[in-house]
Amino acid sequence: MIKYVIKRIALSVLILFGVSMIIYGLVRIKPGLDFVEAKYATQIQLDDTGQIAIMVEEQRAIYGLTSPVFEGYLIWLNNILHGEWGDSFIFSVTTGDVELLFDQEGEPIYDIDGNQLTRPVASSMVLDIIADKSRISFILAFIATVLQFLIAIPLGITSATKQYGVVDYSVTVLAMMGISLPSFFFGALLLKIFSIQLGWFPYAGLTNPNSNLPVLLDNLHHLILPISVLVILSIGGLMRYTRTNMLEVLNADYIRTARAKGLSEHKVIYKHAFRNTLIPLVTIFAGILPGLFGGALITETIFSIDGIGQAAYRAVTQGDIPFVMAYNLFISLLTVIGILLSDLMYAVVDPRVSLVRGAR
Amino acid sequence: MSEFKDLNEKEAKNNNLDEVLIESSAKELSIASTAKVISPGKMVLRRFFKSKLSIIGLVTLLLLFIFSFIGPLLSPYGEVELSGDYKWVVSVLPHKIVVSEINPDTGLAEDVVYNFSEVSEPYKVFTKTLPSWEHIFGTDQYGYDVLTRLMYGGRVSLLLGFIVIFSEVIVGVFFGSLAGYFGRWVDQVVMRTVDVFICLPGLPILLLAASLIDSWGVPARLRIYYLMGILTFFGWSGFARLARGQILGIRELEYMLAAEATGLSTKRKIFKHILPNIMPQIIVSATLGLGGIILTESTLSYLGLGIPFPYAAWGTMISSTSGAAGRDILQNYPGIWVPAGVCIVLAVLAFNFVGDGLRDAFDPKMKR
Repeated sequence: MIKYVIKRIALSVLILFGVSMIIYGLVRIKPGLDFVEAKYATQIQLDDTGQIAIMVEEQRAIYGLTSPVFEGYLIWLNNILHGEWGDSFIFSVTTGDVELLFDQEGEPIYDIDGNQLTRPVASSMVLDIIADKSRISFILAFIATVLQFLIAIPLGITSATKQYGVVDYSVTVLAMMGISLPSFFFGALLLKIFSIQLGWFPYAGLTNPNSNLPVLLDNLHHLILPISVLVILSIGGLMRYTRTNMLEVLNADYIRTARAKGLSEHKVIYKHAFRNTLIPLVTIFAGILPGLFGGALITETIFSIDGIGQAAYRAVTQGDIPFVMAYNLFISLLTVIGILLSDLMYAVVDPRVSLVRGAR
Repeated sequence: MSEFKDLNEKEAKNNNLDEVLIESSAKELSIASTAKVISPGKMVLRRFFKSKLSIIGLVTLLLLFIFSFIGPLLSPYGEVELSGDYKWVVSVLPHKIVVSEINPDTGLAEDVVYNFSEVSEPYKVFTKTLPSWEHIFGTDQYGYDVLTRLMYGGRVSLLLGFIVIFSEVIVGVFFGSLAGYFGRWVDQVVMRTVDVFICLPGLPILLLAASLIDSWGVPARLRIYYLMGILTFFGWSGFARLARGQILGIRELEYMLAAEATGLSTKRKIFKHILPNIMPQIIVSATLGLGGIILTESTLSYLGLGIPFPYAAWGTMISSTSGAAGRDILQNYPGIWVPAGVCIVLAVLAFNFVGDGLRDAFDPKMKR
């Protein structure tokens, strides 16, 4: 078991190396000015003191842009491993720390009551921004995921037990519709119908200063539409997955035995069949992890929710390459961890998987 | 059938000695000629057309193809043709400006006459007109006919989908068969690469790549080819994994042993005996993948990173609803964006239905 785990972890590290190479390569194959130079091109020309030029060189050094590609990759990777993921061009967040204010002579500044003045420290480090922005994305995704499981699994089971019935057909077609709907179109439709025409839900954002609801309820009120988009679009896949697995299990011999014993249908399905469909469902968890923390890029953009997904989109449109690189790396990291966890969990849950023969 | 029988009866009369033998062969013949021989391909087709959903999907696809490839020929408007009121446009005589310039040949100042012709814009561009008989879905915020743009958008989406999936299949199957057939270190190298590609985030990495194209300054016309390249580059890994898995299974089958024993060349073994047998699986997942590619392309276009303006794309048409400027369109002009969304849903749904139908049809275990 330990050997297997170590082998899998080593493999994951290898995969991450590959991922980082592709991301870095993508950024480096651009001809002409690199992204830092392009960003500050006009400022360097206007700047007489040379301050900006020094700052740009520092920035370029972080991404290894001053060296040839391979060397640059190593420098960048080294910085990544030391936690220096670069600075975002457009975002900054308050870190929660405060710094004391001093005047020009270095004397502390006091207000009327004699307390020293402070100001919150802002950080534009990519890691801080990811940590800050993914909070709301996580809440959104967590509620959506829980709802998705609560709805999709029972539907999948019903659909499988009544195969080729009316319920099965309608559920299958609805699931297909969910898979085929583009989130931006569905989001726009919901906004038009429920927000603009019926006026039931707010149009954008997370809070409404004029609302007389308590803050938490107000937030929830704003989250209903985005959550519905996420849930309805992802139900289809999970439902079909459950249905397929359930059908496979229902054809197994032990189900026939259970029926032959005269067990009630309810017991057969929920005690004997459903428990066994849970095993393949474990693999679903691999995809959940990046979904939970990585944000929903389009949904957040449509509903103007200040999460990591919207941040990524804004970064892309405004040329904030450091943030986009870090975001990609962050999601790949989550994906790799998710796959690793689900593989390990599969081995734990399913006694038929033997670990003696190693990976795969 | 009766001819055979007659013939055999005559023969049997002629040759009494072999009577028994010939009678039995006559029986065999009659069975063979009464039983209808169905080729596997026909069987698949029959099973495919048994399912209502796959027929619906196929018909929808056909209609979409007719709509987007034949439709523009019948439409009175062009993809980037402004509709407006041209009645008030008066032809303007060219302005004449006389400038004295130094002639580089002679070095003397000469009067040069420049003629300027004003290109007259239409007097009034019809933007955001409501649906009418002239413009069935109205015109959009730039004054383009929505229905015509819808057709051109369909061309782009469908063509791009087919080209991308085709290249993905070729690249994926190539590497997958290498890995599956040769095994050992080839397998290791290819499959670890595939693992890397599978762990890349889908949309974000496409956004990164697409935004980098922007900074390259690729001309709008050529952008679509770069887009195809990017989609293929990040999409082939699934097919490689599928092909490898299938080939690993087939390699162990008896007929491959037979092929080995008869001393066939590697090329012949791969192209004649292995590839045809993995094709059904590949076709099914390619059909299902087509829907996904259309979704991805329209998402990128929606985000402004796909097909560039002024060319039409379904995603771009919906993106007119985004932001503060789009609020008016979202609220008052559903004719501009709803048809495009419906087209995307129809196309993706149709490919999914056909793909599902094909999977069930190819699978001999499926009995209905």
